[in-house]
Amino acid sequence: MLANIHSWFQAGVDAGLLPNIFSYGFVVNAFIACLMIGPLLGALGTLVVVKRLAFLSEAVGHSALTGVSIGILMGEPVTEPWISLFAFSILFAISLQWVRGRTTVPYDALIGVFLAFALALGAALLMFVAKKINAHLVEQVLFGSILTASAYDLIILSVISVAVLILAFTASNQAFLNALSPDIAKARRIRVTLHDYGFVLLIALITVAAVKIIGAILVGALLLIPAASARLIASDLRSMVGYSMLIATTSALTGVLLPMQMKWAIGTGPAIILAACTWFVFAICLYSFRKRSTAICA
Amino acid sequence: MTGPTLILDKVAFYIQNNALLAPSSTTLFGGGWHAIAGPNGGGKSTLLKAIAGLLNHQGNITLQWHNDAKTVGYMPQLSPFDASLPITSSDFLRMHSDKQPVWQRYKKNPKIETVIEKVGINSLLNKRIGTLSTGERQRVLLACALLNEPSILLLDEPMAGVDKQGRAHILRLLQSFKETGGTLIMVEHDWQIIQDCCDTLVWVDGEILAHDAPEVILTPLQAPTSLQAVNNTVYRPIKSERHYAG
Repeated sequence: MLANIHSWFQAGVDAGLLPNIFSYGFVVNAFIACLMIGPLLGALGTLVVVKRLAFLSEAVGHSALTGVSIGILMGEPVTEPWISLFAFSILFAISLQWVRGRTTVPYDALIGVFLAFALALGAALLMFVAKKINAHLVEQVLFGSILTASAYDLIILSVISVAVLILAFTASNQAFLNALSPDIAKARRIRVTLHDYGFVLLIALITVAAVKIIGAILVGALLLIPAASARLIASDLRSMVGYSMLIATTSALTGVLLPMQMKWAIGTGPAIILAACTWFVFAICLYSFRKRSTAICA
Repeated sequence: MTGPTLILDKVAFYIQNNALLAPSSTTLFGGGWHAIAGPNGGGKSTLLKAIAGLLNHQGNITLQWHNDAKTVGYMPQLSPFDASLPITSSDFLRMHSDKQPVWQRYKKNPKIETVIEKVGINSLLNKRIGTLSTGERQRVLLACALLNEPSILLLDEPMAGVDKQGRAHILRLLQSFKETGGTLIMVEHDWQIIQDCCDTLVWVDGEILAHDAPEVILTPLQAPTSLQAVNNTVYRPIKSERHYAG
């Protein structure tokens, strides 16, 4: 199927409808990945912002570094250490939620502890990884690479996208109510613990799935910046979700395609986040302009 | 509709061996309007939360339902809401319904429309929750509690911060809920409202110390002129063994 998609893009290039960069298979793969990563991160980002858990996605992203290091040490391929990456990030997120439910430590402090642990363990293991492989390869994991999105990655992203779409239709109202008022959610017999675990699990899955394109260090930012920008310009929750998905998707596409087209030597992760930051600046300007207009009218 | 009868059997709540609510028992009859009152820190909200199923309490809480619609409406104590979040009253109401995801364009839902009409929050629907006044926010919360046609309403200080006009509006809504046969249990500080509207008063101070008609419990404190006057009054409610079963 992917071969068919590649040939469609090639036909588009041959017909002069698409830029030449789409004749490269890896660009098409990255393009398709962005069309899934953008809406996923954008939509889930709104829940992250409403729950005030921006730091959580950063921590899970950073835990990917440790996951990759463990995978390489255990003999998994350097570019696709999926088993250890998923296993460690899910274990990390679930442990965080489990400890949260059993202590009185504030959530932000707890996330800080977990983040520090994951980074320290990852950095310690890197020393051993450097003996096995060229440590520069790990840079791909840290900052993302357009070259690494494979058919296998696209399948994983598709599965996660379908799962999130089903949840968006069946459980999003409950998730938002739980985020805003856990007491009301509990009184309505919504299983808030299940929702909380499901939320961190989704963050872990989406973060890991997006790590190869955006990178472990910056993946949390694409979960946060679009939703934070959308929050400034949206008038209600529906428009916030819509804007957030739009900003995340356009940022991802811009970050992947623009450096390729312009032949800039920039990693995809930094390019995507810089594009998202441009949106953020635009959102701040629009917000300030609206605020001033309202003040003048008043 | 007949609201359920609520039976509390040795209900208690502890945090690290400190009793926030010592074992207490009583019965609140179905279709009645019951107030929970007592000094600050006495355990009123704890009791209400235990009834709503929000706390891992000890003892038994039984709701004897008289109809098939076993739905509970809960209105929590007013808490601060981030005014910068673009979440409108309409969004918040829709989150309480499972019919249509809140991120989709709103298709008119008869249940939501009925509640909006009844509570009179039409003009508030497009306003952000964080920008609403206290009284407006209480009305939105009440609308949410009424959305699934509950037969019992649990309200934690529904009049807190509400002006006179707003109180009259909320009281009218609660009165009409009671007239349809629903059971009402509310934490309330205003003794005048308790005396005027409620059938029974549960006095909580570390445990349920009394449960009786409001005029019986509040008689020694008639006509306090201010909160200060109430606080200065040396008063211990009588310990009532009488269970109020309707």
